[in-house]
Amino acid sequence: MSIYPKIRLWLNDRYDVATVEQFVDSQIHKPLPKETGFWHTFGSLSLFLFVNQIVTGVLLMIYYRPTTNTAFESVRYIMTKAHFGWLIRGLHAWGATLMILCVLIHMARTFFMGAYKKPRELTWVLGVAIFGCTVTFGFTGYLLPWNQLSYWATTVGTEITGAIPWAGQYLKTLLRGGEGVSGETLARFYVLHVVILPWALTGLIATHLFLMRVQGLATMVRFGEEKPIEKGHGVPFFPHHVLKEGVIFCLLIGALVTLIVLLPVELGEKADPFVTPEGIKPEWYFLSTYQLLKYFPKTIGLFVSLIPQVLLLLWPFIDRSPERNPHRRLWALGIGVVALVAALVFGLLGYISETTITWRGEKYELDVYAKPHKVCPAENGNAH
Amino acid sequence: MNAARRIMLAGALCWSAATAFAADTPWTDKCTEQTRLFTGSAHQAAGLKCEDCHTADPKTQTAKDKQTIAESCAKCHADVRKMNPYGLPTDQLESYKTSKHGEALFSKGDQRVAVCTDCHGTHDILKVRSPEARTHPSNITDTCGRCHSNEKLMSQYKLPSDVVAKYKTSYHAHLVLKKGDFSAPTCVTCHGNHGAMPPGTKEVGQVCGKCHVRQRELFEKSPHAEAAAAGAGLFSECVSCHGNHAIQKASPELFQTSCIQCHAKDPKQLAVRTATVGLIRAAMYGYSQATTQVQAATIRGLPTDDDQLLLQEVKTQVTQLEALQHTLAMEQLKPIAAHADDLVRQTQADIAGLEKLEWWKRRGLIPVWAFLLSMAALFWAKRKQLES
Repeated sequence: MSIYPKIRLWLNDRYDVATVEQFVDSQIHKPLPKETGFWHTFGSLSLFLFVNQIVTGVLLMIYYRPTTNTAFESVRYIMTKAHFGWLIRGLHAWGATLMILCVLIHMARTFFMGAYKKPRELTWVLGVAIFGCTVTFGFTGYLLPWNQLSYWATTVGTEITGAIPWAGQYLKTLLRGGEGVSGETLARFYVLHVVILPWALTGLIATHLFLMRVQGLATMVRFGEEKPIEKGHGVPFFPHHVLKEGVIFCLLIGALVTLIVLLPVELGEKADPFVTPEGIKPEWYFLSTYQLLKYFPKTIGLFVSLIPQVLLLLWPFIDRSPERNPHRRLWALGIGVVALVAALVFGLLGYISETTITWRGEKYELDVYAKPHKVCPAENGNAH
Repeated sequence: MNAARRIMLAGALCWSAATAFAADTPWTDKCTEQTRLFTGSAHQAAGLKCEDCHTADPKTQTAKDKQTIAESCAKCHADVRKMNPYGLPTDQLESYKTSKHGEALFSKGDQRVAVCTDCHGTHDILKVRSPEARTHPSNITDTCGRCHSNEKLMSQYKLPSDVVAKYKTSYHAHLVLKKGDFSAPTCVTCHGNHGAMPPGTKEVGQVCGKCHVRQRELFEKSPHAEAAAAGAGLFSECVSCHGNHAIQKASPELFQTSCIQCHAKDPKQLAVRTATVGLIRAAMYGYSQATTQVQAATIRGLPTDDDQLLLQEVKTQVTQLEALQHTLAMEQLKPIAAHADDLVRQTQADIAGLEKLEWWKRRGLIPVWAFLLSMAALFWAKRKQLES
């Protein structure tokens, strides 16, 4: 007699194993709509990357020390001395970037397929909250290596909070734990990053998944006209969909490892509050907001940058037409495309601003608004 | 009584009250400006009062001659019992009398020379370590410059008036005034303070040697030391090559300008110069290259702890080489230069080793992708099989 029946027998004497087995079986073999394709795997990929962040984060915590005197040195130790420390840190840093990308693609898929519509509005709202949590994870984690880039990017990032009317200065001080970014800020960000946000995100993801499993995946059918999937008509979650996810997982892991090896995460130089490096910019997912803020006065810019986020959160309550098919709700499709293009354009402008480029043999300096200014040969140091 | 008389009476009463009050007020309150300056001074902190220096009412007291000022200060500052609690020396006046300033004052009664109050101030004297003190390293140059940059005054003594301006262009001034490195020399470090006296041609080396000990020791072993010892103004130790007030950070370029001053028509000595510069430049270049490589690797997060130690060792060798060239002994310079070169090569080999590891990591992507693509293909095939 093998070991499993023995364990099952032992458990069955004490618990209602059959009910649990029936529930697990129903979840594993739950049929998915026939439209379920590769675009539907980005939710699972995000979940996989979240698990990766937790596992690698716990491993990093073994050596990481969150004080101004030891943070940078401990990251250096991880990178140079700890066995496979470079790999663990790479998985964590690049995992974070890919997780944000996957969440964004997952949200775009949900938007364009109208999956946020009744009765799944709350699932969408939770999804937006998950996205918010994920980028906050990125923002708080960026400071932890305590290098020049992280220090100054956090200084610029937290400065924006000060623009909030009335409570701005108080919130900024609360966030920083003082006037400037210091050891107090590091401690606060660390607690947020390793305690508060992981639990918050775990709760949000669990509720999001629960609602998704209860309500099932949305189809392209108008709401109110959806019918339960008849037995034998859908795609079984296991093994069919899981195999599909397996293919994507393999490609994702390959991409992750390739990024770690070909574009390794740098250690940088230790944070120095007295030396401001040139070209301080936030992570790519904040670049569009960062650039947008430059075109407006501080407080107005803050409100303008909040508009897309509020619209995103309330979108299921704004677009209440029953249609899900993007071809039949062109105005929503148009807004989505415009928002994506705007984010890409502003992100690109943010990326190239305050840099020097060469175009057709001429050198141009791009100012903070990414407006090009031709560099005279004398300024260029090539006067002769 | 009409209004005009009432006003006159009131005015007279006020005047009598004011004069009666003034008569009872100590004369410190009358000298408002001096009191303001005195507040916060080192002497106020020590509990001194006006009458400790001013024997009569300062309103009626005429300005003292400078000799009296020096002796007046010395009443306390030459008194061991009074100075002991503050840990201050008591030989300032004696020292001062040996200086050019003191000599001129006490021997010739020259009232134009600097005395205690010219450098330390009068009512607002601060401790030397106070950043606001006239005698603090960051201010002493300007304090000396008040007289020594005065062309009219200096011409009377046949002294140059550009020494302070020249000093401010020097590397020493850069360290003191820009970098806040107060261990670097100011006027008083070389010339002395109370016993201010310009170093003579023979003493210059000793003055520089107070800080540049090793360089001085090595110079003493060189053929140049003999020329300096011979006198007759042939060679003035450090100054002949490095200059004095406007001294710049020593670099191999110095060889180009200094050696030819004496050896322009001496090909044998110029060959020694070329060889020496070559060794130093090669070592410095190697150090600079290795530093750039190690820094880049460190920023990337590669393990460079050992290489950073090696770099320090290279720097030590380069510094030693720079000092050792004062001996002009090529047989001593060559082994040091060779050792620096070996260390640079070792560092560069280590960095190349680290790069090789990175290369292996990149090569490792091939089997990783082969495995992952195989797995993906298997999953895909199985899915297709299930669908069919």
